[in-house]
Amino acid sequence: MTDVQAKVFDIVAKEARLDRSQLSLDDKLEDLNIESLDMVQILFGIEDEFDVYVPQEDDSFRLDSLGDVVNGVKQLIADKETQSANAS
Amino acid sequence: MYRSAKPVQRTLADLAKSLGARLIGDGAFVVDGVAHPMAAESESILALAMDDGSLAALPGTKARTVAVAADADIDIGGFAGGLVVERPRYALANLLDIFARPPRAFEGTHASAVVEESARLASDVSVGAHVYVGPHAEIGRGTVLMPNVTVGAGARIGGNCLLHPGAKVGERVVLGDNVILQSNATIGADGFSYVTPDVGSVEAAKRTGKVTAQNFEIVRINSVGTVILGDGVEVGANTAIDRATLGVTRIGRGTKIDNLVQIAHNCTIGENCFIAGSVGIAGSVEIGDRVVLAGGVGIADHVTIGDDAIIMARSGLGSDVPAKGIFAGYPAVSRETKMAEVLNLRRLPRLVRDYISLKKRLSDLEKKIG
Repeated sequence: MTDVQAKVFDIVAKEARLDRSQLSLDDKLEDLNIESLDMVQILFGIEDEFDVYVPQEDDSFRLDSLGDVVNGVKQLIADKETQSANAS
Repeated sequence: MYRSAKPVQRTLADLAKSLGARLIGDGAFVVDGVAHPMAAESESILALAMDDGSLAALPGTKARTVAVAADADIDIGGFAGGLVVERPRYALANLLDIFARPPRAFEGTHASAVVEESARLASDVSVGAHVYVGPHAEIGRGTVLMPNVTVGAGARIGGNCLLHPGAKVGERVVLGDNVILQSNATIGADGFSYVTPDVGSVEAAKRTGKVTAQNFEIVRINSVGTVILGDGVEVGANTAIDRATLGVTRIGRGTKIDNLVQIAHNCTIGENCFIAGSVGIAGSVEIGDRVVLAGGVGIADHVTIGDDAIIMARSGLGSDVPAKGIFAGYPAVSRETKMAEVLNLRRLPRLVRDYISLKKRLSDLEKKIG
């Protein structure tokens, strides 16, 4: 399990009060029955942990499954690192 | 003499049929009550294990029958029988209706009660200790007035109503059938209606944005209207529903109102609404059918809320809400807008940090170019 995946799973398990050991990349978010306010807390947690901004109205940033969330975060980190490299 | 609840006994098969539940095991097993698995005092109690917590408590139960949710991961083979239900809370409502424990109502009219001669009570109305029923009041069949209930002159209360101790029904108020008022619910108090002889502070502030007038005298506006509660309305403890100034403050059929709610004069509330604790609704608000107001919501006067809307806890509504709207916050906005606001507020510290960093980089760039 990658570091990003581990941290995303930690955040989801904590904020949605789920069993961390039962989470998998294939889990659909709607099947996990995560309440909307918990989803907001998960977004907070991801933005704070990885120092990224999760786009709110970007259709290309899908959040259907935990795998989507992990891949999305990895992309945001990569974009941030590219921007930093271009600036220096 | 007080009415005692008759003991209820039902077979497991009967219960399965009543609940629309799947029966497992011995359908002839007789059940005489329901309880949490650890609170079951005898084998004839049906243990309710329809959630994870009570499921975990099953191994220690004395009960020989159990009710579980359809998605429960459990083998109930060790029990005499069981019920498997699709909707646990709905099953609970049905079970607690079957095994209800109604309050101990006085049989007839207690000696300490005062019932005015012109009041008309059905023959089987229960009138408890220290109840007062005013002149020309009417009370329908099967209604129970617990101790210290007051019913004002000209009030009309339908059949099979239950008024808990201390409930107060004002003059000319109308309650439909099957209405429940919890302790000290007050229906028909005067509306909070006052006027200043000259333009007052709020009137002036609304026009000019400043306090340019002062309220040196407050004059009461009498409330001569009434309140009508539809069939099946329930009102919580210490909740107040004020009478209208001239017409009717109306609560539609089936609406349920929690404790410590204030509903002001001239409001019209639709059918089958949920109004949770500590909600405050100002005057002349119109609320549609099947609306949900979560705890602590505050609604300003003359607001309209459409059918099926949901207002989240502690929201403050100063403007109308469309049908099926989900609104949150103060001032209340749509839930999506509120979530975006909250997220952006949370981002502020990082945005400030990034802004400062960008400013420095820009300054450094300008120095290099300059």
